[in-house]
Amino acid sequence: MDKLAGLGIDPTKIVFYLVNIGILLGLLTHFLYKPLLSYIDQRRKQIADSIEESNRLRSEFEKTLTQAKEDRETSEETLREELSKLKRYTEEERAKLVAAMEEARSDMMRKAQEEIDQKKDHLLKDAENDVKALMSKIILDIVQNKVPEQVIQESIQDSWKQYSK
Amino acid sequence: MLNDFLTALMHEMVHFLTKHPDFFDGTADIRDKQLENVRMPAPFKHYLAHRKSNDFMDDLRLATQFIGSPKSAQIEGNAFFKAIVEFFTGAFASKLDLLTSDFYGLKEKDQWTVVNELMKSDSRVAQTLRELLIRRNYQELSAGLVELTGRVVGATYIVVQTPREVTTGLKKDMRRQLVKENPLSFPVFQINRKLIGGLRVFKDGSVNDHSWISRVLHFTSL
Repeated sequence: MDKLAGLGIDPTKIVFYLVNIGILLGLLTHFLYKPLLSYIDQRRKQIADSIEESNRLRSEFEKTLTQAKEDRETSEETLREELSKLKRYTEEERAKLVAAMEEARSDMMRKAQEEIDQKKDHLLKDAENDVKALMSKIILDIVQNKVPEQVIQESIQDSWKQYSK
Repeated sequence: MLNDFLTALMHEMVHFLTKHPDFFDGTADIRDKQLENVRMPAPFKHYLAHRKSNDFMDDLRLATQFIGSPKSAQIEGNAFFKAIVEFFTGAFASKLDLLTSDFYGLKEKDQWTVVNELMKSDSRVAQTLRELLIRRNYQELSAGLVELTGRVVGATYIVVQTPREVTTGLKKDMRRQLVKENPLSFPVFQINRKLIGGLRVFKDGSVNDHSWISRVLHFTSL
């Protein structure tokens, strides 16, 4: 002890300092380290939960994304099929319409040709009738006005002979 | 149209029968001899010679009924009316054919001259016939006689169309032949100037066309 005192070290003070340090460490541990550690643990847990939540959300998102992708692909496939059907139907309808139009056109052409032929016949007949009417008029004019009475009387007698045969 | 004629005819018959009350008791030959000098057309003499007294009385009643109501009297097939038809389609028609179309343009006095020349008998029957020719034109007479022949014997309706008036000789020939082919018919002669030449004969709707107009139309329709 004397030697320590000779070195200028006071053991009492050292003890005192140690006690103070102990008290200080106790106080710090109680009031500072424990709440701090608790906070740190709590924070760590919160971060872990957050990470876990985010992982779960990411997993769900990926699942949803995959589902959406599948749905989209299915929809696209359905749409493609529908489009294909629509195209086929449109093609068929177009073909039918074209056939009907072609038939109608042919029919119209045939009718028009018939009408033209009829008109042509009528025109020919009309012309023929006009000529006949003119001929009749000329012949009748001649025989009605230019035949002598004697000839008419003879024609009656001849006709009677012809009738009474 | 025939009332005066029928009345006169019945009067002649009754007058004759009152003079010969036993007429219907004789045979046909005896009756013929009794009728020889009677002024009556031949068909009626033949009728009287072959008719029984009861039938004759029925015929008189029918004739009286016909005078009162010509449309309703049942004259179809009656012997008395057959004799009338025979007379009108024979002797009377031949006299009628002798009248030209000029006759209907004459004054009445001249018409009487022509008709008196045509029928010289002075009997009551002849007088009614003369009046018939004066008072009625050809169209009325022919229409009435065609109707009568149609009703009594169902005679064929015959029309002969010519472009000009036919000569009396040819008309007589035509009538004789047509009546021979269609007994008791009354051929009607019509003028149709549109025929131009030849003739047309209509018989109950069928036509025998020998006219020039038909030939012209046939030619121009070829």
